[in-house]
Amino acid sequence: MNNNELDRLLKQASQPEPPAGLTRNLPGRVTARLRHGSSSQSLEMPFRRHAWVWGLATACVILGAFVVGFWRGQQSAFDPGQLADARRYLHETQALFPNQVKAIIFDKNGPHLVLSEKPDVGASLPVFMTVSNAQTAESIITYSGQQINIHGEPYDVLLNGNNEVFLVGKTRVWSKNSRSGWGKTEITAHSMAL
Amino acid sequence: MTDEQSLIRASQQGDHAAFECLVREHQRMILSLAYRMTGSWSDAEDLAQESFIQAFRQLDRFRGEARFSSWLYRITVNHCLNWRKRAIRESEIHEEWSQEAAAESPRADYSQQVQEALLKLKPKQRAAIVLTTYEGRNHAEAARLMGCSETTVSWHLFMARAKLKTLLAPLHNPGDAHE
Repeated sequence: MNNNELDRLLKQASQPEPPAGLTRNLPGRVTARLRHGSSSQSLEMPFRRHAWVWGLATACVILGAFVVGFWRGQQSAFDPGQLADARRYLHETQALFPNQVKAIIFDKNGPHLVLSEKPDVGASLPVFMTVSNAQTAESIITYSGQQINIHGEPYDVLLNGNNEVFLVGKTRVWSKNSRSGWGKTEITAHSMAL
Repeated sequence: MTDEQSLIRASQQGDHAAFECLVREHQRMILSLAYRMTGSWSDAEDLAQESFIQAFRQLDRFRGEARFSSWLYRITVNHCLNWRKRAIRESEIHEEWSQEAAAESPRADYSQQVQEALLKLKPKQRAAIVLTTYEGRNHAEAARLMGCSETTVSWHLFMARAKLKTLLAPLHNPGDAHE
């Protein structure tokens, strides 16, 4: 077989048509990955899947360690040690889910991470809060500008220039100096800014 | 300014919709190359996605000295040559084809045997064959796309042809055009 015969033989091998939908969907898939900041979803999927599992496992360990220490001090008044723990915990969680952490909530069922689907949570000052009444007690780490739920109602968490926390809802507002209308609900809120 | 230049300019400014148009325009060329290099549409799609994403991220480096399609093509060739799953997939495809060959038409079987022979080449030898024989590039263009010298391309082609002649000898019937 000479080179020309080989080339002819190679060219006669037709390429099959791509599966239906491949060329229709590829452009959208590429831009979807660009929007989500994924660099190598398919080629590195096994690694990414493991990284995700390890990330979650690490987060659970951190959450577990934190919640034990946290609930141990739950009965006592708020103290600077809790704030330091909260800072450390937030720092570690942020490292795992950069720009995705909207809030970390500790209640009687344990810790809950509230994450944004995309890394679009802007940089703002973190806030540490406790909310309790006769039936429930929650501790919340969140950011100024985020929204949290207190007894089923949404409140915007805001920090003013003096690092004072305000909770602004549709029907009532909470601040250190404005606690009327909250009944037996006890709230403490502190800026975690250094 | 051509439509493509407008789309490139918009994409360089982060316009995903514009880039989607560029992907739509060039995807067949990229998928075809990736298929020839992998023998699998699934892997070809993976490689095409990776190539387009890298292209988008490097668009600020595209100055228009070369054609956009050539620039994109070179990125894809590099991805194909560095394809990490290649060895695993090649053995899987070989096995799949062995099992499916009997059920396929003679024509498909012929094409599969050729593709299977291509997959037995070293990646750079395969790239040299795909670029010159299937894509019609001359040695100088293939050298630019592969990032090597023309002499190196010629050497890869020489080695690839020698191996293919052996692998495809059973398909060769002088005078039979297979058409």
